[in-house]
Amino acid sequence: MLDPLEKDVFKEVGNIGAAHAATALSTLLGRPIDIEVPSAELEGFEKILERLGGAENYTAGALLRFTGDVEATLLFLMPLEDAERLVGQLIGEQFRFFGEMHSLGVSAWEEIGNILIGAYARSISDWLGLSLHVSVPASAFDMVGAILEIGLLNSTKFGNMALYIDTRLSSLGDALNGHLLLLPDEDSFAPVFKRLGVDPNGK
Amino acid sequence: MENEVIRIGIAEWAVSREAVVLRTAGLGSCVGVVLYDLERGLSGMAHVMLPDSAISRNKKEEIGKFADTAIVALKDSLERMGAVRLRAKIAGGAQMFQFKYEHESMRIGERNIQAVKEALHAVRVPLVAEDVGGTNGRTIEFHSKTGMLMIRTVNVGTLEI
Repeated sequence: MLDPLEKDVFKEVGNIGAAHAATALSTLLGRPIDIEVPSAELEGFEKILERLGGAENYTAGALLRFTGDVEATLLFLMPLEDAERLVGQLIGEQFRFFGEMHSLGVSAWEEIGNILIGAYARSISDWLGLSLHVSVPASAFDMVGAILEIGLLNSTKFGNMALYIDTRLSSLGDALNGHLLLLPDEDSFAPVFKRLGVDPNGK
Repeated sequence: MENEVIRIGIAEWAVSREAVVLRTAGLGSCVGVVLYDLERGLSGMAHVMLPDSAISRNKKEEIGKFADTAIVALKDSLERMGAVRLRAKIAGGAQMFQFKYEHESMRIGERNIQAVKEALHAVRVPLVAEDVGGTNGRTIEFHSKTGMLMIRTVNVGTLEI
């Protein structure tokens, strides 16, 4: 369990990051993107998978690593069909992963991930005055459980649980649904708490 | 009649003496490990996430998470239940993301496969079938009655080993 203070800090990180990412996505698409209030929790692996539609949910994922003052994995996840629609809108024709235009679509998808997650990272680092580097994006199109695992590897401190900050993005007109999921490495948020003058142990 | 399905989550493990289907979904870099004694109808499965329990700070809660602890736990439990002739089948250990700059933790699939094989060797349980590596996620189902391991992927179809 997170204490209320930690939860507020993590939610605020999600709020600021995801709001900027949503703006970037909305600019890209030329239409509004709805953004849900982020949730920040420490939860069991299976609960996190339920939130993402179950381990076998066929999903497009873009992954970037944050390094520097904060170390974390950030995943942009979308049901495969929604991701195909999104890529299709950008390249101006119908698109299917694993079809003829696969590599073009993958580049477009990685660029979308790069723009969204880059906006997320910049807003957090501006807000906190921390230095944050973002890796080049990588992508996978598979079961969400298989995609998520890599983000859970650095959370062993908590037993079979991981800390995550999740924000849902959607565009109702196109029925596009996505998650921006930030999975901090163990203890990597200490500089954030310090910068905010918050003692996470409450002493 | 359909056999009962026992679902094993990430980093979990289970054993059974019944005719069951042991199932774990969405294996990426993780490795699904099955130990079974076909003649005595005993079977167990673990969803192994990491190679080595040396980094664990909650050993008791994390038995299924690491190759070394999961395999010892499966073997000991099955032998306590009367297993004599244990065999193993494994699947998983994919590399889900292709990175331009390799980070050590991104090779975790390969390291998991190797750790699982070493742990099986250490407890002298023969590995009779495997479907490991590659770049696809897997859902696996072990049918304890027949000893068949079914492997399903979303991108390259289904396989039985």
